[in-house]
Amino acid sequence: MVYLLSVGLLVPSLIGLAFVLPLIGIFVRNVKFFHAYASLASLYALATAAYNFHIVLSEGVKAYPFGGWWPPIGISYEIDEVNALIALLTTSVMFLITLYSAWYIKDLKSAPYYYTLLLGLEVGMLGCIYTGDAFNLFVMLEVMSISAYALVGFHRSKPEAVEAAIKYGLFGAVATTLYFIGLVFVYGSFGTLNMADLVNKVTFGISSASGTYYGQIHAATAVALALSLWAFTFKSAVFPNHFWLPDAHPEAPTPVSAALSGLVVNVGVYAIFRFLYTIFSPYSIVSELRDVMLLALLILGLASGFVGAFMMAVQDDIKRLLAYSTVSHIGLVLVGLSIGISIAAHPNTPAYVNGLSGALYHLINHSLGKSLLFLASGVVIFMAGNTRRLDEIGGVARRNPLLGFTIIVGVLQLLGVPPFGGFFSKYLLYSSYVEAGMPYVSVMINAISAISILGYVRLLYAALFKTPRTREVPKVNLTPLTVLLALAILCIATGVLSGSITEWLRWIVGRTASEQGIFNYWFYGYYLFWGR
Amino acid sequence: MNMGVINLDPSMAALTLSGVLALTAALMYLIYIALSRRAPTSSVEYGEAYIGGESRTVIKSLDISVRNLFWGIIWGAGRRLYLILRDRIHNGMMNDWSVYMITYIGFLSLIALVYFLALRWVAWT
Amino acid sequence: MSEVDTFMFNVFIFSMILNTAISLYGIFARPTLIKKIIALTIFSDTANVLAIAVGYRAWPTVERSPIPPVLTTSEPTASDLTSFLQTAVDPLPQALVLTAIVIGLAVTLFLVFLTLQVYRLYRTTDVRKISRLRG
Repeated sequence: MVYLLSVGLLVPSLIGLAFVLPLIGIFVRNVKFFHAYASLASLYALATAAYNFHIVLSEGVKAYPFGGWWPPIGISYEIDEVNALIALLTTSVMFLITLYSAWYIKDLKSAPYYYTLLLGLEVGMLGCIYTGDAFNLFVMLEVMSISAYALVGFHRSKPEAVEAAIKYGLFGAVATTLYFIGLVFVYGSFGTLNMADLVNKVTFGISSASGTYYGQIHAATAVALALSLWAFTFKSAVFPNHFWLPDAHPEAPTPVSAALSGLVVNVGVYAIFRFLYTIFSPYSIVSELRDVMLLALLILGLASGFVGAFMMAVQDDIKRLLAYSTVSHIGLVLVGLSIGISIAAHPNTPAYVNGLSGALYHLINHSLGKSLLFLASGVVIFMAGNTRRLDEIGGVARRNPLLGFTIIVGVLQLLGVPPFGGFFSKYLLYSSYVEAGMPYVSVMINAISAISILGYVRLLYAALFKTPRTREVPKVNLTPLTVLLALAILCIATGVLSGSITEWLRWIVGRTASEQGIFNYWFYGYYLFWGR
Repeated sequence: MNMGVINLDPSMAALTLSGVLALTAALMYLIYIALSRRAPTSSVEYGEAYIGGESRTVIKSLDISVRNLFWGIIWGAGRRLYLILRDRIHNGMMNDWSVYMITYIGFLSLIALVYFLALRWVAWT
Repeated sequence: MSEVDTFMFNVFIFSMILNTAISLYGIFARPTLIKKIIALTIFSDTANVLAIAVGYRAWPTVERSPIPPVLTTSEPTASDLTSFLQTAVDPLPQALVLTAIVIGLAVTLFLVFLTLQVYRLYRTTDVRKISRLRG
């Protein structure tokens, strides 16, 4: 079988399921229906993503050309191991978030629109992750972003929410348009937008079914990479482009905060990975340019780690504190991604593999821990009587031991305390930079972790260790607590199984970010269709 | 083979160590519970801490406020940093942020330009 | 290309760069949200025109203009295909621009409604006053 139907099926069918919801909302007047519908839809997404993941692990890279148009001509989706893993992570956390939403969204009036946007967000993320076409990445980024803007401004009578949405939306539109201009340069010089075909031309340097080069390819690639990196670092909130995040993430409804902070930022990181490790890889004709860009990303990643950690220590708002923690952690993930600089590590050296697998591992740990903490903060805010100020929360989590337990698990996961995954991923990042001969970066990773302790202790103290002001807190029903428990178990699992997970991630990195991986991406995405 | 040394890879060592620590903590907690059972937990006479004749609302809470947590460290060590970071950079104004964003894209474009010029230079020489 | 063509082409490129600069200035530095959004539409239109220009094809000969990328015969011969390849315009940039225009419309509409809501809540569209979230 050359291509896999379930790769192409997931995104279009989920789009259909999402955007039919407002129509259903006219006829169905029962809020329970929408909860069940959205949960089933995201369960379907989870099942399909898990199936794709299984197929990719057992059979290798898979592609799906839409409409029967073969890759350089039509849009094609292509998944390798990294794709499939991040999609599985996204859908599983999204499924838990949708379940949690049933507790959070209670009124009938907003339920259809909320779920339309939430599923739209999931579709956008999955499209960005699965796509093998650079222009389709732009379209899916816009689908994801519009859903995200609308979800940030969902409480539209709250001035802060609307303010955050307009700040996010305006600059987000600029970012995606800049990416579009970058694509224009790519198309103008390479004559194709398909990623596998770009690999064909940039790395193997052979002309393909879409013709050959035009004009100054090095200059065009430089401009295109600069513009698209700006857009991706905007989406993943890296230091100079992180300003929207601490406003937008806290003002969104709590489940959406978890999705934005835990998953949406991953998309930018994934896009950077795809651009700098598959398309413009170390083997490509622009490897020197890639080095400089990665060095810039390393500096920015460290800077955003420090800024996030410092700003966490002075926050008074529980969700804003968590949002700054996202800035810090994405900075750490980018530090791991930047290991591919040729002065640091050549491909397939231990440092290279450790750094990339550490970045992936940290991405997973951060997604699980951050969504857990955001969802738990939603319950805390509800129990404290709808206040987000750390002072007024006053230890309500003590009244519910399960909630307290999950908060401790989440904080320890993000802080990087040994039995949890956060420690092992930070350790991998640390050791990779030591092996690469840049120990000062490792020291900075440690310093970022140490500074962020101040912020996490603030959170723990406010939610757990302060004496509660009142004895009576509203009762929380079982749905959110089950979701929290599931996420907490996942967090513990990432730590306890760290040995095998690390080995497995190394295997994945060896299969995707190596010469063989790039060859596979090209072979299954392009050559199988045209080469014969 | 040196049999006297336990060979552990770092992640296993960390797991083992944290497991031992957790076990120790659990043990100490059990001992604490066992000891605290023997002592009288409370008596009727000492119900409320009542000092002097003040009303009970003088001390609102025994805990310090979260806002003041680490305020000494933060304000003592990093006042200048926070004045810049919190009050000047993160001041919530769109137009002030855009200066940093424009600087960043200018920086990336500069990299692109320098790369292009360097290539030209190499081709020319 | 003749001198006139080269001159016109350079004018076009220069005006595109100028447009980008002006619209970015408008988005990043103007204080009013409405003006920011107007600058954003100028910016995305500039990007679209740039994309169209990538599909530009010079006239094959002085008398023959480039044709739309549509084969008009149902059973083309080899000479039909050859002349088609020599004169047809690249259709892909146009498809890209159509998509980008539709997306840009959606984003602009959303931002306009959001601005209306901002005006209702803050009674101003000046971003220097819309800064309740900080720190």
